[in-house]
Order: sequence, then C-alpha cells, then structure tokens
Amino acid sequence: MLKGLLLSAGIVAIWGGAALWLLRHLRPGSPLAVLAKSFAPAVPVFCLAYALTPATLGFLPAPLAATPEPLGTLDGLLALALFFLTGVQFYYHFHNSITLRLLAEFRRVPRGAMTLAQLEEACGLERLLDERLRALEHARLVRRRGDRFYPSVAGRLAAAAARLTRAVLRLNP
Amino acid sequence: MKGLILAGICLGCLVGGAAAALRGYRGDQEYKVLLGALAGAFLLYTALFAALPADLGFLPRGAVEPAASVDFWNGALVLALVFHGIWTFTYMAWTGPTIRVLRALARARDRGLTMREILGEFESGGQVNALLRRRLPKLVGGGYLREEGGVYTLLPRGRAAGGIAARVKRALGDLGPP
Repeated sequence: MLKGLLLSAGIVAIWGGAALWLLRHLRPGSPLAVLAKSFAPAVPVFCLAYALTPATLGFLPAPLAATPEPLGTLDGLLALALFFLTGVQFYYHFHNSITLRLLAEFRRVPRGAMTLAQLEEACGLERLLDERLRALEHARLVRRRGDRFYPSVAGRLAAAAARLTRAVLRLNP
Repeated sequence: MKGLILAGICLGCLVGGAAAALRGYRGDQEYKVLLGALAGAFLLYTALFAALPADLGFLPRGAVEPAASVDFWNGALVLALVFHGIWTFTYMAWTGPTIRVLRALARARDRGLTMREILGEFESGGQVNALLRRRLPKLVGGGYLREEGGVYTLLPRGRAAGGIAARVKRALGDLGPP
C-alpha cells in the first residue's frame, strides 16, 4: 500500500504543478474541465509506474513493501482519486470562497476599513452571480435561453444532492 | 484492506453522529460539531483497528496488508480525505451561492429565472444581502474584523488570513473578482 500511496502522491504533485500552469495561462471558462482532462493521463501513468517499479521503490524497508500487488494497485488508484478530488476542492475553495475574497478586499482598502455599503459594492453580488452562472453554463449544469436560465438534468441532480445533504444534517442558514 | 473497511464504517458513523449532533446544536459554530464528529470517528477507527484481527475474520489472504502500521495509516488517510470531501460539499450545499442558484433554478423548473429573479433570492428588502448576512457576524465573532458604528475594520488575524488568501489566489492566476 505504501508504494501505491507514494506513487499516487508523486503523480498528483506533478499534475498539480502542471494544472496550475494551465489554469494561469489558459484562464478557461471551465477550470473543472481543464483539471479533469489534464488528470486523465495520470491513471494509466500510475498503473504503468506501479507495474514497472520494484515493490520497495528502491528505498522502502522490505516489511513495508510486502503488499499483494492487486491490493496495492487498487489502493493506489483510490488514493490517486482522493488526492485529485482534494486538490480540486482546495482550488475551488480558494477560487470561489467569498469569505477569503472579502478578507483579501479589506487588505486592499485604506486602513483596512469599509462600511456596509462599501462591503456590498466590493462583494459585487450581481457580478458574483454573473460569474457563477457563466461557470455553471460552462459546466453544463445550467442552460441559457434569451434572458432566462434553466437547470440541466445534471444541475437538477446537483441541487437534489444539496437538498438531501441539508435535510440529513438539518442545515438552514 | 482492514483499514479501508474500518474507515468506511467509521465514516458512516461520522455522518450519522454529525447529523444527530447538529439536530440538537443551537450555536453558530457548526464546524465544531463536524470536527468533533471527525475526532470521534478517528477514535472509533483506532479502537476497532486495535481490537480486530488483520483479516477481520473473513478477508482472503490477498486482501490483507502484512504491515499493520501501513494498513492503519492508509485507512486513517482515506478517512481524513473523504471527511474533507464531505465537509467541503456540506458547506457548499449549505452556504454556497452557486448551489443556491442551482436550487432556485431547480425549483423554477421549466419556467426558468432571469438574472433579476435570481438576484431576488439573495436580497431581502433592503437588508444586507444573503452573502454577507451570515459571513460578517462570523468574521467579527472569529476576531477577523471589528465592527464599530457601522464600519468594519480588519484586525491582525483577518489581515494575516487575507494575505494568505491573496497570495494563494495570485498563485492560482486569480487576481480578484472578475
């Protein structure tokens, strides 16, 4: 398992650097599509790396490198998927977080002070929603016809999943 | 495999425990409930791992990791990463404007919504918009901002957090709101 974990962590680290470069230079309308497409080769790369490298990777102690190969491969693929999803979540957290955007905005104004009206303007509700709707369109969760927006099937499923989460955890803002 | 199976069981207990705890929780620091559920899940995982045999009584030899420490930490890592996903999705579903837009559109179904109607979901008759209504008191309560006479001022903790946010957003190529 340790070999698979180390290989998947290394592959995700390399992918992370490449993905950041792509996001900075392409400025895509759908970052998720870029992240997913750029990550797709990581799966066969992992399988190849796992098959071609020794169980100890040249440095692991023998007792920690005795995992049955099928178990190690599957566990490594699971770790690869979880590392990728975690990376995507961190990206979206920093990219989308309104709280972090607010704090960064406070740093830009003199004396780090704003009134509520200034905050409302800085938060840019209409601009933020326009940004989010464009992202949803790119992700095909929303369709636009004229000046009206409609949820796609995928969009309705996402909304249903959120509704279920709120119901299970009894969350109401 | 033992660690993975036990991590899966403990994650189920985590979700159930968090749901039960949130039903009775009356405060506004729900993250403490989720972190408490994670701590409880990890303790349960550790106890079960110590008490149960390596093959859990039914695993074939090919599914048993020979090194117990590797098995344990592998399961703990999966537990932590999946919890992070649950935590992220929970907050998105609960406070995220994107999900709120999707929910409003799903309710509207074939009628669709204009931008004005979507904006109406976030505004409340002249009061501060929904995006700030929840976030500002938490930032004040968490010591990131101070509120005095209607003016919000950044405190050192907020300045530090804002600085980190600004640096990470620049690294992501995101130079601020479009």
